[in-house]
Amino acid sequence: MLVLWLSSAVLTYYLAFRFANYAYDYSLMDSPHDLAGQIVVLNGKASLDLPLSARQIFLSDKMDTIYYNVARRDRTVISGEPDLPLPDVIRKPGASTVRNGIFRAQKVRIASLSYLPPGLSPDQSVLIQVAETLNKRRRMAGQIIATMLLPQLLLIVLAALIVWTGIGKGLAPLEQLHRGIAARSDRDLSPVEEANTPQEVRPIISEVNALMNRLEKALEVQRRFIADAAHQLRTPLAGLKTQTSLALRQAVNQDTQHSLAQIDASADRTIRLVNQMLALAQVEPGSDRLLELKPLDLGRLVRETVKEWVPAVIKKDMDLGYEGPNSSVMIDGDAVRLKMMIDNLIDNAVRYCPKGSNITTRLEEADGSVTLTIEDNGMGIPPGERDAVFQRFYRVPDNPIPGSGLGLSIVRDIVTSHRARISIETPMGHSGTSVKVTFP
Amino acid sequence: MRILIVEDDAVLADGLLHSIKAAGYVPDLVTTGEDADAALKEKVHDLVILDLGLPRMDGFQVLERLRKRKSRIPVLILTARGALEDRVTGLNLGADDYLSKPFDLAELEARVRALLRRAYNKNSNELCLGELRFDTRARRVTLGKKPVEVSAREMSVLEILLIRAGGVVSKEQIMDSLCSWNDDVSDNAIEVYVHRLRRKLGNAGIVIRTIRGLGYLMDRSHNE
Repeated sequence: MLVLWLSSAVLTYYLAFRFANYAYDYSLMDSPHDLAGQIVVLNGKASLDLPLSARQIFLSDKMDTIYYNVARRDRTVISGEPDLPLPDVIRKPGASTVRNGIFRAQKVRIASLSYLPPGLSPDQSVLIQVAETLNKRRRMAGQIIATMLLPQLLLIVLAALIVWTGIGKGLAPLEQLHRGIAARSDRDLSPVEEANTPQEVRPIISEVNALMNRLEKALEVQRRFIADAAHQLRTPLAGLKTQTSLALRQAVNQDTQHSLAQIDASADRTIRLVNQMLALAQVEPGSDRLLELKPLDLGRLVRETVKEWVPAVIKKDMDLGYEGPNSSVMIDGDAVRLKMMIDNLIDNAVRYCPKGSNITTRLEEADGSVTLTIEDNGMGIPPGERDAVFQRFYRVPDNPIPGSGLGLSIVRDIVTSHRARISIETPMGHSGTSVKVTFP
Repeated sequence: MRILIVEDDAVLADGLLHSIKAAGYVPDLVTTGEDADAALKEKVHDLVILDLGLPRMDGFQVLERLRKRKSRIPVLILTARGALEDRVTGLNLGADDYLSKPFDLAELEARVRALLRRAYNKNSNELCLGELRFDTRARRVTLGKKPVEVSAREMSVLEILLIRAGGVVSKEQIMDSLCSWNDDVSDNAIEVYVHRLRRKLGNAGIVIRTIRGLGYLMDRSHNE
């Protein structure tokens, strides 16, 4: 738009100059006529009767310098500047022309008049030229432009402003839409709000919503399948486990006993895997729809869950304790999922710690956030593996303890759905693992 | 004791049958809900192990109909679903306990024993743990054959620890159980009582563990 304006400015300048010329040419063209009035015939030749005072008046001009020249046909100069350039074509007497020219390295405007003094023959006509510099014209052109362009500029700026805000307002809902969608978690498939969007975009949004709906249904079908499959596996596994337990009690010889023990261990692993898969299907983001974060007492939940674990831990000669307030610690959360998370974390600590280890659950409140820490002095997780362990089915290489690889994935999904953060660290002062979950 | 097993999975049913028999009870097996309903109407059983996921009339219906007949027979439900709703619904409908599949066989047997004891030993006022016997009505404590001297307060502490033997009892819970006395009991006082009880019971294989931040736990001491 600026380019347009600049070119318009240039054009306007030329036009303005042209009009300025028209304006001043009128009076310039009069000047040769004035001079012609002063031509007298002396001794059969034309000559100029221009007293000094008259000349001074003639030549005076506030802004420009005026030159003149009166010459006979034979090129003899009667008066004025001798080197004023001649026009290319000399017209018949009576015709005056005006043209641009250069005189003494200045641009000038020259009016020429061919004049035949009365009583003389045509070959005795004289050429009267008056030239003036262009200052007046330039100034007028400048003024024209200024008066024209300034409002033009203002108008343009105003128009630009109006268009800008107009477009901005029009695009604002789109921008909002864009930000809203971009801010979604990568599993959020809820429909996009159609109500406040501009009409042009509505068909697109409606299609997007339909697409997400189809996607959601497909994912739901998949989830259901996993959940159903896991359930279906449980009864045969129960049969397997029961028969193995019975057989172990009756085992006749060591070899049979050994094999049965292996079968039993494998059955346990399978059972654990099935349980974890089911748990994961329950807490996966996407099943988020059923998630409601309500105020709950995390302190009580932690204490109660830890109490449930104590007997099992004692059987393994480990020490499980709680550090933290005995009062309520309120956060917004889903009790079932949080219990699952705590169970998984304590279970990990129990399985990865040798006999005689200490496991501590700690609850701290600071700066409006609540941190739950499960700390043990067992095997620990190498720093390089601390991000990878959250992946599904990931097991640290050379990990001797059997496990499904899903425990921390479940924990991470629950943490995410509560908008909390989780980190794995080394405890202060001793080796082992410290898992911290911080709630906003 | 006759126990009715309602389970449609052949392998699991077989395992349950053998386990119950080995435990000294008399098992009967049915594989459908209708058969279970019919069998229960005979009123010859002392306990029912009921699987919920049955074909044709599921476990819940059997349970409902049983309780509608005003039967008080103890019911242990088995479920593959393990969801909270199943458990709550089952208990609400009148089940006495629930176990999710797959389960530990020893756990099943223990729960069956506990259910039978609860149902058929209503007159017992005795709490036991190993050699320790606590007669709640007579307010008497014995270790093996010998009586144990305990103060009234120590007895209250012992009682609540014994009722929940194997589980964690918080100091608050202990304090609450002592509330009937006029004075308030302080933290330190509780520690003192526990300490005394430890001394009196320590030689009989009974241990009171301190669980950091949570309270105490009474149990039989293991052979380490």
